[in-house]
Amino acid sequence: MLNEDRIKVMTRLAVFEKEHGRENEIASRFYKADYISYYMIWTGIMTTIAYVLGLGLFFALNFERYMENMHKMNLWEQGKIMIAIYVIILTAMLMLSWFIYRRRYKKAKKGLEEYCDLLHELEKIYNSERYREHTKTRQEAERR
Amino acid sequence: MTTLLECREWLRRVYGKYSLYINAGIRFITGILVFMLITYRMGYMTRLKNPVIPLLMALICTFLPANIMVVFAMILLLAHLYALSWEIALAMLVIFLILYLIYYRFSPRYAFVLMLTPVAFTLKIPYIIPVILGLAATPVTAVPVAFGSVGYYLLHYIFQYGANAAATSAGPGDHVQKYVYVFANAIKAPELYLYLVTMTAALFLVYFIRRLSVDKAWLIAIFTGAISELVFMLAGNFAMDISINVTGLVLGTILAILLAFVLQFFVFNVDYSRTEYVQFEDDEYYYYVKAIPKVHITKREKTVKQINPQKKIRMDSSRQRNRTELDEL
Repeated sequence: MLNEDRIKVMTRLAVFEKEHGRENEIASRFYKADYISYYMIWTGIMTTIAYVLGLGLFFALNFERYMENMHKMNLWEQGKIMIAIYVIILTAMLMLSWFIYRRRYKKAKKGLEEYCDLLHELEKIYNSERYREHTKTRQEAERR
Repeated sequence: MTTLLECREWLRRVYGKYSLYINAGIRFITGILVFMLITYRMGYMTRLKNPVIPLLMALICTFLPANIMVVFAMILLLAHLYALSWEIALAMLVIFLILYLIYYRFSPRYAFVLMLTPVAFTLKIPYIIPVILGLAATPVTAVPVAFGSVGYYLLHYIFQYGANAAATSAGPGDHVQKYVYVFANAIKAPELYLYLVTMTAALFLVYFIRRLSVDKAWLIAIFTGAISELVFMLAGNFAMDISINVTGLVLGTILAILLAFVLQFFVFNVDYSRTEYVQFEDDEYYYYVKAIPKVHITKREKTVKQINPQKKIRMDSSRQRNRTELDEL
């Protein structure tokens, strides 16, 4: 039989899942430290790839200058500067990702609590439905 | 004011009911605008210059998530650039990849900003972008705004390069030169830096002022943001000796203020709950639910003004009579 209250709660749950499903999954599947470190590792990899691409673009732009002055340049000094820039960018990106993903996890956890409250409400409705059904069958049995 | 509020409530009700179609319509119009601009401004690949193609792409984007439009716009742009010069197309691809790797993994929600910033520049209304983003988004959107501005300047010099190449009928060869011409000019353009500083400062100002706990914070934020843009641009104009169209700047600022007001009143200040379509099941049934938000409309309060003074006189006279009776007693 259709229970209007149950359908309302189920609809609210479905809407919540549709809008915050991904965040819910994050909060329920990961521990905070695991989640943050997982995404920080990804950020590190992506930043490295982006830096290499940017470096390639920079060399292509200054190709002629480098070709002409290659013999005059101190390549070790140039390399050190590039590594220093890479370390600065990487540190900044890692700090940023730590901050962002920590905040995102907190938000997801809060959303998960709301979702759990709705689930409890649904469980209560199911229990009362079961109880009603059980009493009805018992009464019918007694009547017989 | 009541009429405006009623109008807003009406909009909210209509949006709640037809959000699916309204969102699709907005996506379609934005798609047409973006794809047409790319096709007609950068139309180097003659095969893609047919107006049916942007129309078809906009139609496809109508039924797909908003971020797909950004991907489509990039593909279309790269295809046109490839026809002009593969080195420039490759460089643009690398820039898009860098942007994706360092920014869009964090905040894919604002992907469209990257696409709309060059569009606003082309339509000569870039001053609107920071004010609106400061009101509705977060300061992180300064990153796509900056990339969008750089993108616009790159496209501007690519367009110039394309025009020069067509005029001088320069053939292929000297690959590095083409690439250097575009990038060196875009990086050296002082207007680009002025726009970057102005837009970032205005975006931060609007964002921080609208979050202050003072009355009408958003109103102060809009004015401060728009006027700061005007001041920054004028100061830069004199200090860096750039020829910026001052009339366009003033008109753009006024337009930014007006549009920000309209959007703040009708869009950002209202909770546009929309109709939700969800599916779920239990042991006995499958449910296909359409949940329509309840909207309470504030109706205009009717005031009845008494214009007949006779009743009052009569009341007064009866009161007086009662008082004389009491005095006599």
